[in-house]
Amino acid sequence: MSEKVNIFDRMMRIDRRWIFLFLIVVCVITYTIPFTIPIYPVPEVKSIYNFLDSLPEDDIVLVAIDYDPNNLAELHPMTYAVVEHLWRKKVKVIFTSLSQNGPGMADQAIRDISDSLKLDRTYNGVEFKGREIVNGVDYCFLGYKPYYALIILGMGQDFRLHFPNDYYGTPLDDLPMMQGVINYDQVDCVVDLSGGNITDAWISYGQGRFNFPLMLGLTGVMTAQYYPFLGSGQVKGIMGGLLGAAQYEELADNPGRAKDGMRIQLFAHYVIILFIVLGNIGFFMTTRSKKEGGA
Amino acid sequence: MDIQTFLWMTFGIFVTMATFSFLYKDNPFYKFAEHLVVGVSAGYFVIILWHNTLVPNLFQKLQDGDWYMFWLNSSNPWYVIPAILGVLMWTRFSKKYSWISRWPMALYIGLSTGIAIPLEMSNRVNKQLYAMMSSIDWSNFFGSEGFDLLSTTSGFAQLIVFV
Repeated sequence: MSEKVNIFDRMMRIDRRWIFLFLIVVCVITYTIPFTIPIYPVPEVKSIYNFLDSLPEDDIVLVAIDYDPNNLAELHPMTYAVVEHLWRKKVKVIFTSLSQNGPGMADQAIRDISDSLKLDRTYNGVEFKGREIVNGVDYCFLGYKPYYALIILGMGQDFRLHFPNDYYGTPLDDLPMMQGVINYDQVDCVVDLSGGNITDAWISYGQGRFNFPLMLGLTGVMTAQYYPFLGSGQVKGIMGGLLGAAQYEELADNPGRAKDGMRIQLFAHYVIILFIVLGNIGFFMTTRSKKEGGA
Repeated sequence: MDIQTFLWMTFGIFVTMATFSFLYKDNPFYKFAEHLVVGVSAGYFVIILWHNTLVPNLFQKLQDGDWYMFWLNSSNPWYVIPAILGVLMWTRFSKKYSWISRWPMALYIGLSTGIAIPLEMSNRVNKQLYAMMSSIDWSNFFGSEGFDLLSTTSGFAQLIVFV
């Protein structure tokens, strides 16, 4: 005689593959329907935006693209939003990529943003004329070197110590923007976009040792871990996950991949919450019916 | 779109789909993608290490020396020392001589510890403690106008946290 299976048992035993399929369907449908959701920037993202927005022309910011392709969906939008904001304000950027698989993505982002800068745009009511972004004048891409802690310490002495040449093989001394730029003393702040332990090294060996303003862009799961550093003042601001990137895009009035991704993420979260609720209802109801049956 | 871009993108999509196919169940396509990622990552890292570390930090430093002089006649002869220590690491693969690898390992660990401990203590312990304690208002604890239970409460709580 087969065991009687009620609706609550079924809710407990939904095959995970149905959940994946349902999630895919919801993501695809959400992607095809154009709509926007409101984004409300939080103070820790605002502090990053305000700091970068206050930088005058020709200041230098170090943007560390310290993530691999597996974090691309969350962190690449931050790179696009932050770097476009800096270049529109004619702030120079030094890029590093201390993650093994990062340089290719960084190079791709630099090219994409350079193309975007050629167009006239208006952000927050300010009109920015399109211009050519020139390697060595507007930016310098140092590339990748292994052993990130040593590299971060070494750049505090001299960028040329570990990076005598840039990613494209040009000696740093031949790049106009690197004339007189020796170490972190000539850099106004560091923005670390990271999906791993490199953030710890930037805090301990970078900010802690050389005392520069440090801002973080992190994956969603990492964010909570770094809030103590925000409270202690070691970190000036934190962008957490795709939401953090969307908040930066909102502040910069430059809607891009993050704001686009937020609507999909929102409904994906609804689906996950729905299945969590279904599972819990199934669990409690079957437990109750067993108790009642046993009594 | 040129044919090269088209082929690479098609291959990328195929590998992505192969990776996601694990959500259904383990299968040969997933195995292929998994082994490809591991192999390419390892190979990529070896090449990166070779071109970004060994070539500029060792071979180029010693290139003006002669091999039959063990590069000691180069302009940077001291770079021979880390090279020897690095080679000694490989003795770990010999049962008989693996003890030799302890020397470079000891130096490496000693250096790393020397760099890490002061900075980690300063930034992960001291600065965090300082941030927690900086809000203690001692006048609140002792009371600027004599003893007052209400005003001492928050100071007392802060003192407990401090202790």
